[in-house]
Amino acid sequence: MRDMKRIEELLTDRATGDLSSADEAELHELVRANPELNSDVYDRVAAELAAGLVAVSPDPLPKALADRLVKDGEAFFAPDRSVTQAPDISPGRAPWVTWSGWVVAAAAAVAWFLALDSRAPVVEPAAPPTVADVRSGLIDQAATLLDWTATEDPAAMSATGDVVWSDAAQAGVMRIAGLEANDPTVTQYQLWVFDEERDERFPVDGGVFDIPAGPGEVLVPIQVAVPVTKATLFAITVEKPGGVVVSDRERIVLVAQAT
Amino acid sequence: MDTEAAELLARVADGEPGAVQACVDTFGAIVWSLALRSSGTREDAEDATQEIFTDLWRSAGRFNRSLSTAHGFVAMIARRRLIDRRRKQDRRPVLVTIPEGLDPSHDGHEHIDQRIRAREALRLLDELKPQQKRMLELSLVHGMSHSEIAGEMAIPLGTVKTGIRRGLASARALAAQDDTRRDGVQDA
Repeated sequence: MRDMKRIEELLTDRATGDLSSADEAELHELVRANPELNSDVYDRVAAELAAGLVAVSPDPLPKALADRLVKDGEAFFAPDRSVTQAPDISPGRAPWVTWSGWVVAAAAAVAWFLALDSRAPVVEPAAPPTVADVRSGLIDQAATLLDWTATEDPAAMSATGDVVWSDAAQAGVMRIAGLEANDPTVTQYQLWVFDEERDERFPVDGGVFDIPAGPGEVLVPIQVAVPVTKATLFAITVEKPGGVVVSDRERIVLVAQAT
Repeated sequence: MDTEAAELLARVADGEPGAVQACVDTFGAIVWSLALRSSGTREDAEDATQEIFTDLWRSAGRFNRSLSTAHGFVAMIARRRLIDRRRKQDRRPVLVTIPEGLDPSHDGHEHIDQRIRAREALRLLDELKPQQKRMLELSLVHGMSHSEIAGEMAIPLGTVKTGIRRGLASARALAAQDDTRRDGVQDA
């Protein structure tokens, strides 16, 4: 009972954007201990009230901004984008690699990043690299390289690998071996990137992906939803197909933390 | 109406041609209004609005009409992004006053669903104590922290926390009563 009163306090504080880090940790534990709880309920009430209140006297969206939003949105839903949102990892020669429009975009980002250093060779755009090439390029440029630590989740029992990430290039690649294959109609893996500059309650969505059955390594390109200023921690969770906006963090399988 | 807005979220999630434009037309004012009032500058508000719509494109397929209205869903995405940005920037928002006693049925709005949403929100808030209502307005619309609200209203921080907690809990209970009544009418 005392728990419930405290949970309600913390949920209302969160809904109004006023939760300290200590309170956030406390709420996380309380929610874990009370899985039947609808922890979004006050966020929803607050959002409904906010939507109603701004409708009293709404500010019209500036035309130029509206045009930009439409352009961004149409680019988001462009055909090659649908491939990159949930990288399709198909088994083939080891290591398995993903080939998609994302790789071209990542290659462009890496090429741009490399071009900043005149000593570094510029990636030839006519011959787009594989995910493995992108990974190698990032490592050569001393991007952050962190080993995965497996949790006690059954899916992660013998999982190993690493993640390479560059804040400057906003690109990265996960290398994973031994993680349990998933059935994409039941669950998918989702990457979260914790940014030093952002509220830790809302890590950046790094995309959903699948692990195919069989031995060998999987290389998964990272595609962050919004720019990451300084990545401090990477975590992979098990989520429903398509992923979630906010993870309940109930099943964390792999973690890689910057020291 | 919100049913059309809900269908629009499904259409945009499916990547249907024209849905992006319709989505910006439908939700642009709400997102922009929240962003503008919670951001330090107009440029910040523009950046926030772009981030919010990116979140919306990614999340539209997760909308569940049994949990919230379409506008509430979009407002929740917007508020989460704005809270995140605000913590990052630690910038005091610009205060835009909502007129006291405003009657949304005579405010010249073009869209009837806007008036309905506004009326519903104001009715719920009108059931609260005036001080609680003001606290929630400052928090939900202007994105002010509890301590900023305490300063604005010249009252202790503890009073603000208690008032906001009770106000939001009361609004939740009132909304639940409405849902029950509505379901009862539909079942009858």
